[in-house]
Amino acid sequence: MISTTLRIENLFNVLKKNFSFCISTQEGKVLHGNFSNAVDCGTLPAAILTAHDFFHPKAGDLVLLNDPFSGGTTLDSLTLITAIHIGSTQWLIGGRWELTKRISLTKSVDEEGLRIPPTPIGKDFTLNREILSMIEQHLLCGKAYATKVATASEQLWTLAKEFKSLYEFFELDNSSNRFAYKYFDESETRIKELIQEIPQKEVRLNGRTSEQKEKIDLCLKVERSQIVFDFLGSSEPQGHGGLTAFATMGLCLVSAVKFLRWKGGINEGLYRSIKVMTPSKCWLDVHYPSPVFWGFNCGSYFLNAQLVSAFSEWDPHKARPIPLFGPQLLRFEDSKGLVSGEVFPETPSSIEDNEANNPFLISKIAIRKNSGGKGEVDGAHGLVKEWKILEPAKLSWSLTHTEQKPQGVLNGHNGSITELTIDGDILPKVGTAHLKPGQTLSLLSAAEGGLRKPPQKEEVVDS
Amino acid sequence: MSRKIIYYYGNYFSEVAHLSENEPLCHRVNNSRISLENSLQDLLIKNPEAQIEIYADNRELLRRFSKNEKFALFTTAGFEDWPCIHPELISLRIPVENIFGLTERVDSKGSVVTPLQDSEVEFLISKLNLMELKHVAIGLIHSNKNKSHEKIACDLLKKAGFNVQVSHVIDSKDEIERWCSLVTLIQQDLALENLKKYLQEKLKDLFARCQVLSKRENIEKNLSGVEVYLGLDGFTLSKDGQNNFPLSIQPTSEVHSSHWGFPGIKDTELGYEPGPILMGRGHKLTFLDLLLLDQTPAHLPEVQTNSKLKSRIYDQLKVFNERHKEEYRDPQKIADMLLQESFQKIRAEILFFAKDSTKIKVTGNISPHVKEFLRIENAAFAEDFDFNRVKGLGAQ
Repeated sequence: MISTTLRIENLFNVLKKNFSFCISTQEGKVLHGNFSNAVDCGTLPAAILTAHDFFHPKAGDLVLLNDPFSGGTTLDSLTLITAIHIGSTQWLIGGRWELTKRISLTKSVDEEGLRIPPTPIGKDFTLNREILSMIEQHLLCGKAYATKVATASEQLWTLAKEFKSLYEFFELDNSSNRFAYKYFDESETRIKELIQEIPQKEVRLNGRTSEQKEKIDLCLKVERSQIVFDFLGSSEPQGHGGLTAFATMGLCLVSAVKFLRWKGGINEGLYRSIKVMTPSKCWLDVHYPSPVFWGFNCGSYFLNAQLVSAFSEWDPHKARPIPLFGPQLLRFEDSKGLVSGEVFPETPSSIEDNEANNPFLISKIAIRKNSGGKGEVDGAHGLVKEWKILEPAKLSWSLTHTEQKPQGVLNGHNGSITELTIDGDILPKVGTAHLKPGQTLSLLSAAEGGLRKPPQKEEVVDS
Repeated sequence: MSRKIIYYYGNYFSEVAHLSENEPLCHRVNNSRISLENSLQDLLIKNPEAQIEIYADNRELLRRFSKNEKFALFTTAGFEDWPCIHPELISLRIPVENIFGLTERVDSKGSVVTPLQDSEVEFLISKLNLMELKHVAIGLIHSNKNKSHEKIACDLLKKAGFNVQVSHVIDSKDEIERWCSLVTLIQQDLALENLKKYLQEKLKDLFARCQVLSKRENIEKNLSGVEVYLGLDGFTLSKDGQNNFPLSIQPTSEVHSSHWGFPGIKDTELGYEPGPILMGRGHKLTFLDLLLLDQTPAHLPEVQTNSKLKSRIYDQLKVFNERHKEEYRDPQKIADMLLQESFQKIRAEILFFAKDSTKIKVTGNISPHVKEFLRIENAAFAEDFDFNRVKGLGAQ
């Protein structure tokens, strides 16, 4: 069996993409996930399963969705699912693409944008343009949506064909997918062995977001070789919704995998090694029509930070700096309705790319010196970015860490807070503003807290 | 008439060809055992009539001869930190103290927003002189839309005696791609110059009979189709003679105990100092050990297979097999399985890279040993598999 395990792993070492994708058996069990973020790790497999339950997609069929309660994330992401036949086996393939962020803090998910439940939009590797154009006509649908779906669908179908070629190159069994289940068992056994090697204890942690007042009450323990994430004391949503259970599960799994230093791929065997418990109506398991924008954009970062803290307490030797509680989101809309977005601290696009067709000129991108918290390992510094406005534009923004400093770990110092200004005037945490030509917008993004106590400088004794 | 010797300075091994009217006479030099200057000196003394053409492999050239070499980067003011922020630019490791901002700006349509003043460049020139920096790379924002500012700075720098590379001559989609190529260009210049200086210093009068030539890629541009090079020096892929992409498995990739509790091939390369176990001095198991475990290739005299070395390899394989002892008791069976799976991966990488290209040529001195493993139907295995790099250079 080990040879098949190595073969599957080698296949996915060759098959790499710059978007999140997941390949599952026809029963919806994850063979491999290539996720660009932890949330996708829980939601994308769920989206595949939902699409399968509703439509049983055949090779070349295409199902579109963005509904968070069907396995999507925020409404400005795009999830596509297709299938591929290889011999007598069938595989389901899902991909996800992020579109320009829409900033919306509302009372219901339906006010956040156009919610698309699983919808068949392609057959035999051909898109149904009629349905797409009907979707595009909706008032809440973003600009050039059909073009973006078309590009993404081509990428997904190419991925499916490449997977088929590699499957054949690697000579995997095409008469049955039983080998995949053996691979899951092998992974499960191995990860459970790693779980047994860690200190067997219980960690309790309470945290609260200062801005939203959501509470996390987490008990982390090992039970029957499974890592249990028990969120039973966590609060209900406090006005802006929260995360879906799929997303919470993805964040828990990725944090456990990092803690265990698992070097293999993510597959069904790993999902079996964790158990996530949330109380009903908790902000970590919201249901329709709860809004999700805040949950996915900030709540997920907050949960991740709490998980890192809990694991750092579990085994201080494996402690990591606490990630920031959330990204800084900016959205520009020019007079023609064209939009562009900025998400800090995600990988920045090129300056020239960023300026093309936008109502601004970037005048500065720099490291925000001395902003990371001091520690044995200093926290990562934030960034400084300045825009000079060229044409009238509407700016919407949503910031985190505007009041609460990013925490240090194990006596590390705290990092610096976020500041957004227009011509020197500090802006609130969330809002919209009309920018005028000549104005300067400036963002000082938050910086991580330090890890452990900073080393003390040796005193120099003057002889 | 003076004879010509071609010296191909590779990553781990150099190949030397003595050109004559008949077949060239070739031999290989292990770079970690004998230094470049000593090897050249030997050749020059033993062949008093010969002229040597030295070709350096880019990777080795850059690694050895531009490591601590400094150059300045001129960019648009406000973006001096950009090479320390963007992940692709970080990998270039440009020292931040050598990045200088010029007060100038061109917008995305190519119009000048802030004109560049000569005095600013002149001020920076005096600063560079104080810092004793002689090489400058100029990468300004939107210089592909309007090259005037880069040209002004370049002219002033050249006039002051600096070696300059500009970004507007590079065809690219954005400043990231442009700056990456720009820095590689300047590093190659520096490395080549340093190599020349180094050899001049070491070889003294003998250097008069040496000619140092630049990158091998230029010479390969006439090639068409996919070339798979499988040599002691490395495993690479190239299409139509452009750029060499390393395969994920290399001859000295380390074999270790993987997360599956079974031997696996690691990403790290161990190199040839001390080298694979089968070369007599190494202690760590490499892919090459598995491949040549049962062979005594006449064309690779560096490799020796004897029972002592073989049992050392078997012992390591047994230790690395923590969890599958029942299925794999025999270490030879482990080695066979690992080889088969590794070549399955190499084969997939080649076919995936080749895509629709039907012409696949396999060269390199390891290639005769992998024929049965690779099983690529339309691949042509070079008949002259050894020293094909240096012979190729000699044929130019």
